[in-house]
Amino acid sequence: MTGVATMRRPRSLSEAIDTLAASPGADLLAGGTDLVPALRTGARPVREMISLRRIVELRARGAAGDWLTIGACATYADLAGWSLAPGLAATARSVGSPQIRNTGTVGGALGTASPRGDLLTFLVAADAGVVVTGPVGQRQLGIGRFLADRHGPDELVTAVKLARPCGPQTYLKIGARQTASIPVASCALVVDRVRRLVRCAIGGVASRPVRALAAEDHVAETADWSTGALPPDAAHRFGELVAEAVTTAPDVAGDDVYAPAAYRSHAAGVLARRAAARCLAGARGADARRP
Amino acid sequence: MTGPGAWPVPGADRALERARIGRSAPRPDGPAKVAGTFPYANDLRVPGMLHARTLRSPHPHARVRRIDATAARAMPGVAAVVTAADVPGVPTYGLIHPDQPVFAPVGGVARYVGEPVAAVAAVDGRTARRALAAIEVEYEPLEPLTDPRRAADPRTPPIHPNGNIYRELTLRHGDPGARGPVEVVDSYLVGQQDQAFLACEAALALPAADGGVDLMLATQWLHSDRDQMAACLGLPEEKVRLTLAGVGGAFGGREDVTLQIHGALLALATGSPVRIAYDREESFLAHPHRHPARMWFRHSATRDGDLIAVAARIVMDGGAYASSSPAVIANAVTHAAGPYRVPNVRVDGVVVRTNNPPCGAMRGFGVPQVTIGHEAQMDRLATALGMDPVALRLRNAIGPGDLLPTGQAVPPPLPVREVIEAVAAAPAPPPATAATPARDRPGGRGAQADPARIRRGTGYGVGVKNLMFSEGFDDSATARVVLELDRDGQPRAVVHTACAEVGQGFVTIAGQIARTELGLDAVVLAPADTAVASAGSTSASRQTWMSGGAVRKASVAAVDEVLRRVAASLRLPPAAAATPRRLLTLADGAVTGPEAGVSVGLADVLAAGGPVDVTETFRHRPTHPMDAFGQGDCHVAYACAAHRAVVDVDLDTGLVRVVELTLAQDVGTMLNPLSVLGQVEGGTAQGLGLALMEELVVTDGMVINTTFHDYLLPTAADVPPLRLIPIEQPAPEAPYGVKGIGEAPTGTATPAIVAAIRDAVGRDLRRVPVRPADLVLPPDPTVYLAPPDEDPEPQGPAEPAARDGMGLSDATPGAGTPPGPDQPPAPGASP
Amino acid sequence: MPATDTGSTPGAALELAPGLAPEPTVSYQLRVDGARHQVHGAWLGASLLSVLRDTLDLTTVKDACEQGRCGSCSVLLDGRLVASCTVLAADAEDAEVTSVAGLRPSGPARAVAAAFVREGAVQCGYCTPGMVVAVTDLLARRPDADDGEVREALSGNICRCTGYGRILAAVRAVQDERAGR
Ligand SMILES: Cc1cc2nc3c(=O)[nH]c(=O)nc-3n(C[C@H](O)[C@H](O)[C@H](O)COP(=O)(O)OP(=O)(O)OC[C@H]3O[C@@H](n4cnc5c(N)ncnc54)[C@H](O)[C@@H]3O)c2cc1C
Ligand code: FES
Ligand code: FES
Repeated sequence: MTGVATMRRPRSLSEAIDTLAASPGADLLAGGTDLVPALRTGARPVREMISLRRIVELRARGAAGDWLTIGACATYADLAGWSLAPGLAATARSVGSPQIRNTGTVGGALGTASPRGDLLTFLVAADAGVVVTGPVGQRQLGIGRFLADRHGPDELVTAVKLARPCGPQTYLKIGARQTASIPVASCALVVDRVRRLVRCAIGGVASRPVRALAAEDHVAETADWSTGALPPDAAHRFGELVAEAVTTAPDVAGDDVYAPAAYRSHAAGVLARRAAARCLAGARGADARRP
Repeated sequence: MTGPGAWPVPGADRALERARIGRSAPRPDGPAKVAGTFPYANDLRVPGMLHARTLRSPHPHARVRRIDATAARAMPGVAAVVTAADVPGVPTYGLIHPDQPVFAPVGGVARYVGEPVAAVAAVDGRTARRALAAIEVEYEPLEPLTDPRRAADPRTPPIHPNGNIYRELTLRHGDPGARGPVEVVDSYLVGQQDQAFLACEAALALPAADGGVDLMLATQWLHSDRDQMAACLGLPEEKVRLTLAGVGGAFGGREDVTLQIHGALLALATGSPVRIAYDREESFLAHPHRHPARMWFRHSATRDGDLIAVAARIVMDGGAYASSSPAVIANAVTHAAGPYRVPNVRVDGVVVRTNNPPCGAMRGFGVPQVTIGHEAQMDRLATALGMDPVALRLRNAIGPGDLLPTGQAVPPPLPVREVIEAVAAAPAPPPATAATPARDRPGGRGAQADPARIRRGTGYGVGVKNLMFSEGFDDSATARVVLELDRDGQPRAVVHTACAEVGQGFVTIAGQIARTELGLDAVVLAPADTAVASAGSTSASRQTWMSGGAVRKASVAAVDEVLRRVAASLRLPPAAAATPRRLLTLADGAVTGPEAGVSVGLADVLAAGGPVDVTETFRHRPTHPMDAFGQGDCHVAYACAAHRAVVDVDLDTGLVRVVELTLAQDVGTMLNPLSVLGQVEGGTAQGLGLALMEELVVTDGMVINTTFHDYLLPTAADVPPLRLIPIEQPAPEAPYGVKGIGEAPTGTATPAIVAAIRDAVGRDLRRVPVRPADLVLPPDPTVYLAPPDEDPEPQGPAEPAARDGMGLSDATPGAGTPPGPDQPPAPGASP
Repeated sequence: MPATDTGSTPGAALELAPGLAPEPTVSYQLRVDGARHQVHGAWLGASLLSVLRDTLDLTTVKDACEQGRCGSCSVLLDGRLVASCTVLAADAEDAEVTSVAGLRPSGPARAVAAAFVREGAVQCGYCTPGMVVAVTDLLARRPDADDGEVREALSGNICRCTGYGRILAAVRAVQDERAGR
């Protein structure tokens, strides 16, 4: 019995795009950590498969000007020690187990766009750009746009772009055990001392990462930007505002096996306060560059 | 068992040869296991074998209206589809009561999510799986009964012909109305834990020329499986032959029949070898779990802290079929007062049938649940009395000769006082400081807990666990020892039992015992199978005592036979010949007797007289059923343990890290100290899992978390180092003075950890597992069984209210009354 | 036709397989432990784990969750530690797959295996092949990892029997041996 679907193994991006154009609706395969178990259970049907593993250009990661570019096939392990992107590195280290970090990729995380995905949460806080490439070339979408619209059937994610850090950033996560757990709640905080703002995203609490805009404004207004320090009670207030943002978010997750919803918003507030204390402690906050 | 593919482990073989009892002999199967060549049940493959899969009901409660397998049978590659209509013998089976259908029959009822409805054998696993989808089953969903309290209500309509009560037990000891000036009352809830042995269920079924079937499988009790299979297959027992394949863990989860009958039916139907194996999700659905429990306790004491009375009510959810529920509730009831001297005890326990997943044996067998309850109560009593919790426990510690709530005098030894003192005296670990790496704080690196918000807590859990089977069960184990010459003419011993090696290390211990008794290094273990008589179950902490006892007995008999032969050849006077051990000894492969001037090689003895072949059966002292008030010597022996847990709690997030666990345990005599350590470390980790993360979440009869993504097991990062303080007091009734060691620490780790968390956060925690939300959100009022100040039982003289819903009546409506295999009475204890 | 009732269907065991159309299959070669294996007509969606165990009968690699959570299926894929149940077999065509059996010739693996047996790190042994691969990989990268790091690094490998105590002892014993302690 031989069906129609088969395995394509392009060796370059252009070959991948041609292959994809020739077989619309094919599944892109990166590490396979999401896709392969889903094929086994039947949660995903088996279709034409295009493996991205051999496309060296998609594994590249680098810095140019104000931007960091991460190829879609970079694994968590590739990012876990990257000193240029401390928040991203902390995020990568918090994912799964060594086996999963060695296999799972940035492109796969965006492809699945799991509401609990650690990477997504950080990318939202980092206001990352997602580069998608198709037959007509490449285009860059903001992460918010990408999550809303995704990419076309003839396109794939080729890279993620982040601004070079202009201040401390961190990623904190509460799991259901000491390590190797999906997030029950997580918090990404990115401080931009040049533009005098912070961005905060909360993961695991809703159908996509939640931005806490009121909380961000509160920090922007109360921080002493000459030192990058937040007054002590402002961090507390920041936590409260984040918890509130979670409670009022659209599509907020209900109780599940890991935790009741009320715990998630509480935990988000705690993590946000903690993240603020780490990233907005003035001179000491510099530590948070190495979370 | 060191197969051809085993790695040479330098020194291992020599160490093994020298390994007698008392030494930390390495496992004989270790080299094959590290090399990956050890054959587990799911590794077995034979040419031409078919692959089986099982169709399961997606409903907690539904009538099966119609099954149409025509399309499935017609699919290319499908060899057979079997349903209830194809079961030639008794339609139901069960460990204690045969109340579970092999398949839910048409016209009958499927009673839990995952109940087998049909099974398919096909050329490969994917075809079998596709064939399942082609089987049409029409269900009529019925209202599920999922609340155990409602199931216990006699007004609730029965969901099975045998009724909704598996067993109700009443225990009255002393004056059941006795109360004291200081009382603590509360309710506790224990969630459903899964054994989660790592290798999922698997078997290879081979049709035999004599019309019977051979099965190679992973199980805990070959003969129990065999008997249940033979009855359902309608075959005489000798035509159902079982051989143990490699078992990847068990912990009680392999006591019940799951895939055995299905695999055999398919092999017989197709005439081909059939491999039947579950994946993790199916495993979660297929085997019975640890009983979830709701418990109410009232402890009464004098102002000085002497316990006056314990009253308890225990409701366990047995799920859809009996499994070992009747024995589990007996354990829960008889252990409810814990390892304490209590003159007046009143316990009411009931285990009920619901449309939840069936529950049965898991390490501790009903005792961990009540240990969680009585230990929480002891801490609360200490607080009420203003006493130190250790002092309160010491003051009330039970000891040999004291009366248990069953009226039985504690058989010696039982060093409860010693285990408590030992853990209390152990040095405490250094406190967490700002320098403690985030990795080692609650929540690990991800959570970056604030050191200033971490609270240290210390807690104790003390418990006692019965050993071996109870309540008059005729508990026996058989071993055969053959002394023979190997191909090189060297003497060797072959030890043959049906004892299931599931990882616990019986193969190591059996070799050590045989070597010690036979004075011979060359000892090999024959594969466990049903060609030898039953060893009983690998559960209830019993195999070292029971099958170990049998191996010892058979070894001793083999030596006696050798000495008798030598004595006979010496033409000694009849008096001396009758007691050859006085004159002769067998050691290092030779029989010597300096007085008689004898020295003869064992090889010569065997060459002259042929192999020595002896089979012996070992029994422990008989136990007795309980009377209507729960009185009687129902358990044969006990072991106690005490854990001290030290935890750090992040007060902000409620995350908990167990920093250290200390265990003092009553170990009898340690035949293999390394193996003891491994057993108690493993048991402790499972207790930690129950305390913090392991719970099968069942909502309206549906199991929500059937994968390792959401049924969480402790990882190496969650389990702290364990300090073991063994208390060695040989048990006079046991071979070499041994005690079973695998269960007691599973029961005490959980309450110790929960107590430590309580100590850190100052909250009453009534629900296990403890979830972070329980530590930081307002308390959940639904956890109560009854308001804490209300006695759920009316006062006054108690009537024994033993309802036993388990008649041997038919489980399948309209199918007539099957005779059923002659099921033994409730074995009173398990893994 | 699937079962007529469409209740919720938890568990793969209860799930209805997709239609009855023929399943897509592929043929390819795999290099496992230095040997080449031809895979004929395997289901396209098959994981590396299932092809190793069920097609090639290489049962030294164990399966216990098939979701990447337990690590019993751990192998090295071009030298990287992975859970083979999360890797598509057809995509491992030009990779070098190393199971515990393939670790043999190198020194550290042998020391790890010996220490596992000696220190009591093996009970039922089902986690062991994957665990030995993971420990060997860890010690190659981080020979001096402390206990905390070892515990974290092994968090993708579940052992249900040992409570990890003897496994940690075995890792320490190998470290001591190699440091000449
Ligand atoms: C055991 C386990 C633990 C995990 N733990 C965590 C955790 O702690 N935190 C966490 O965030 N995640 C976790 N995950 C999820 C997973 O590892 C990540 O989401 C991972 O990034 C997926 O990457 P992949 O390369 O393996 O994706 P794949 O499985 O290869 O693909 C996933 C999806 O993305 C699509 N895709 C792949 N590449 C592209 C591309 N370039 N462009 C467009 N679409 C693409 C695929 O078609 C597919 O639909 C865990 C997974 C497992 C199995
Ligand atoms: S079987 Fe692959 S990780 Fe469990
Ligand atoms: S030894 Fe049994 S799972 Fe590890």
